[in-house]
Amino acid sequence: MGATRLLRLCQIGVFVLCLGVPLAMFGVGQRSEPVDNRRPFERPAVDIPGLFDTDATAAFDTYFDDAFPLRDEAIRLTARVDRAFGDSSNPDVVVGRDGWLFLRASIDEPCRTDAELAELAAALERADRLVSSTGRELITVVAPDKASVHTDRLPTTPTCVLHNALRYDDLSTTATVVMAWDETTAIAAGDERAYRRYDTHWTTIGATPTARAVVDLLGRWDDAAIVASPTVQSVGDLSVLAGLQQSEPEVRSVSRPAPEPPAITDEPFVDRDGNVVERIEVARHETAWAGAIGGRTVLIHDSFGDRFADLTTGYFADITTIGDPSPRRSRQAIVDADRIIRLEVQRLFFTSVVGLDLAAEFAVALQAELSAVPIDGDCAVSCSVGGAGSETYLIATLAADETAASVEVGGRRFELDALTPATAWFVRGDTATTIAGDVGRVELSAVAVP
Amino acid sequence: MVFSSLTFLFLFLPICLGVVVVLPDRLRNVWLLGCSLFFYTWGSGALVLLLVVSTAVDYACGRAAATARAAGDRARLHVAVAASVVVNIGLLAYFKYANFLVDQLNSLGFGDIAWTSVTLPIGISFFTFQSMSYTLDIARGRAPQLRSPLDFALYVSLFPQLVAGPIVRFHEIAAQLTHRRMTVDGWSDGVARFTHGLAKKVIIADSVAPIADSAFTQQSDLSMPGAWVGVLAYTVQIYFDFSGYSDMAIGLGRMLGFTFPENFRRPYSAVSVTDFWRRWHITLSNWFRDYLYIPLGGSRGSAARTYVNLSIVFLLTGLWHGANWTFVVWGAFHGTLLIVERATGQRPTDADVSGAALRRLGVFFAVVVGWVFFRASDLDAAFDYLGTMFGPDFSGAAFDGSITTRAKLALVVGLASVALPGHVVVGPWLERVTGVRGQTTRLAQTAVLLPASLLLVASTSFSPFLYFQF
Repeated sequence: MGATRLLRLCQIGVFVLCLGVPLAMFGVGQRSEPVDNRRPFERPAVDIPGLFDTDATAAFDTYFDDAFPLRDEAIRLTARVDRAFGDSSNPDVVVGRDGWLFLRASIDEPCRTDAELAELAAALERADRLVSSTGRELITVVAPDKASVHTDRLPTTPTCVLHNALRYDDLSTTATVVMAWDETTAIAAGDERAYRRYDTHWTTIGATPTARAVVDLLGRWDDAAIVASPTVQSVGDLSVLAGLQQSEPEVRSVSRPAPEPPAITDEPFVDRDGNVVERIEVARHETAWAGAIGGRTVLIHDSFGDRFADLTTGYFADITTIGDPSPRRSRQAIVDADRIIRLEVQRLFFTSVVGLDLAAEFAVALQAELSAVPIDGDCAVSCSVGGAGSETYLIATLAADETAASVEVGGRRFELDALTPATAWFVRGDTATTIAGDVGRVELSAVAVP
Repeated sequence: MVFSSLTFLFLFLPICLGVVVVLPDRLRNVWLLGCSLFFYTWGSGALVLLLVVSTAVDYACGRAAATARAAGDRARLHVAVAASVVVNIGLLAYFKYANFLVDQLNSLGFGDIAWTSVTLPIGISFFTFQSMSYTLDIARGRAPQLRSPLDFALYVSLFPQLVAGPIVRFHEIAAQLTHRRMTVDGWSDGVARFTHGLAKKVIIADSVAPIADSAFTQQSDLSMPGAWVGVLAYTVQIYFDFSGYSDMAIGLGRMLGFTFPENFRRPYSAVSVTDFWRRWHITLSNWFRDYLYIPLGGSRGSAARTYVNLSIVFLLTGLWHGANWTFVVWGAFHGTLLIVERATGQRPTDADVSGAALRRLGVFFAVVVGWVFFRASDLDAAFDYLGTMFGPDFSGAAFDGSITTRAKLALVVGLASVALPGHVVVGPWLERVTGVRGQTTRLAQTAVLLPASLLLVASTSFSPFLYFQF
């Protein structure tokens, strides 16, 4: 056999190996390790009729993409190549200085204008008036974004994220807003472990100034109560998003101000139909310690609330933590509480308070205790609520025998289901409202803003 | 199913090729036909019936044309050809252009026509043209009819070139459908060509795509440098994507014993727009030349008649690419440039023509401008984009912040290939090289580019969930 022919055969061999080996691995049951932060797609049933259904074949493609035996290695290798160039394989993740990772959404935030800040203050005050009128206390906590604290690690000069942090920290409002940005920045300057290098979140070190500020509002913070747990290796969520499973050491502390640790009960979060919503974690902490902050408190929070809760729950006589910042989804817990603490990260703060109207969510949650207002007219055509100059919330609640509905008001669409069975819109008394969509599947009511 | 999907590369292709090599010659066409119909059905579902209808009609028309030709019955011959053209163009018109036509009529105030949007079947522009060429070639006596309907069905549906070309005219492949051989040399050539195409598609085209996408979707924030970078990225993307697919098709064809026609010859090295169209999507140009331009009279009549013929061909070429005014304007733009070249006698096709570098630059510039119409979502967006390209705004950055170094490198490599000598066309060269050095080059190319490309394909399925709102 000539050298040329041998080389040709080798070339064909490379081709056969490259395509055949993964197929053989798949055939003997080898599958990729999960590398995405989601459940891998299940294998759909494939039969002859299914071949004529492009949804079924697309589902198989998606399954095979996930299950492909060498997928995890390919993703990691590509991510490493991109990282060698100083890039991230995922456009949602930005590689900063010294390998620090940032979420692009936190860097690309637009600079909030004076008008927007006034709007923010007004929306917070409206929420505060609604909650206060039912005899409850509302504390809004903003967790500073990593990008506004570790500006020195950003790949380029600080952007609007810093501008916004400063403005939120000094927000002029009668509502109670806590954002300990100055203190958090100071602590982060002295201790790089305040926020995690490969993760979006702060650590208990970074959360301490905010926790202290909240506890001092209601009781007395004790630095000596902080108990550090052994260092653990934690995989960074941003590194997972970027295709690498990078881990880093983290010291996770808890506050133990009471002589005895609180009794902790994990409770299920159930939707309207009684289904347990697994991704929303609920825990109730109770202590008989005399120095505890009294009353019943609910902490509704996003993923920044985990470390904050480690530092604060020990101070409360009875506090329920719910891993979801939406008041309308935690309706029953809010009704049961005397005090509501809502914690959310900086980059989502404006959108949730103004864009999604936080006050509307409280109107939904507390509607039974707010003053009802009659609705004039058929909202499917045009209706009005309250008199001239009044401020009201028009509430649409999924009818008892309905499982889902989609309604639209003023160009905004709302999907209602068992987890989110009601929604509300702010209406001034002299304006007409028209609700489009599944109006027949919802029950309408209205409440006054005090 | 697309060539750059994991299902195609690691399930369909190994099984298809693995079985075909062990089958006796007489069963290979049946197996390939089954595979091709499976391939099409996987991506199109029940729309495979259109492929079957087009195939059945042209098999019957071809048979009628062959009989009429043998009997010297011109009337019947014309009926057979007309039936093929009417059915295929009818399918194309309904499935590709009906939505567009209804939109236009509604917008022109011809009443509000109630219309349920029609789904565009994948590859319909390719398989209808290919199917028609069978009847047309038989009617012209360029090829004999096929005895077996299965062989003809294979010609229409052969999976390597079914959805993205090259458009193989029947006479180019007629003999291979019944007599061909699969050889080690053919496999080796095919592997080299397939790898080359996959690398062009995955390593270059897919990498620069985010640059072009970012520029064309964020037009309002775009600066002049950003607009130029965006359209240059699209220039690289469309060539490497489309020619990469053609290379993969040609390579797969070689493995299966077919020789498909070349579809690209370094089009961005053209020294005139006429030259560009002899290098870009060659099989489409040849189809229109043989079955439309020449029957219209070609350049045999007066200059004015020639210009009219060119205009018709290029308006239809534009429309063939998609049902949107942007494609019509793109076709008209190229047609106009061709007419100007013809009128001024400036239409060289020789790479060594005097002033070749300047000519290449000029043609490249015109082609790049033309791509704005091709890529933009509508004419307003296209003119806005052109306004940014030629506007005085230098304030913004050339690249969106999320663009990776890999994408920028791919853009540089893609653009650098434009500067190569006009006669260097890597794909066909890879097939032609001989001797130990040549084979070693091909082996190295396959050993490096194939795993790298497959790696990138496997990694593109990475889709983590952004859960930060909780």
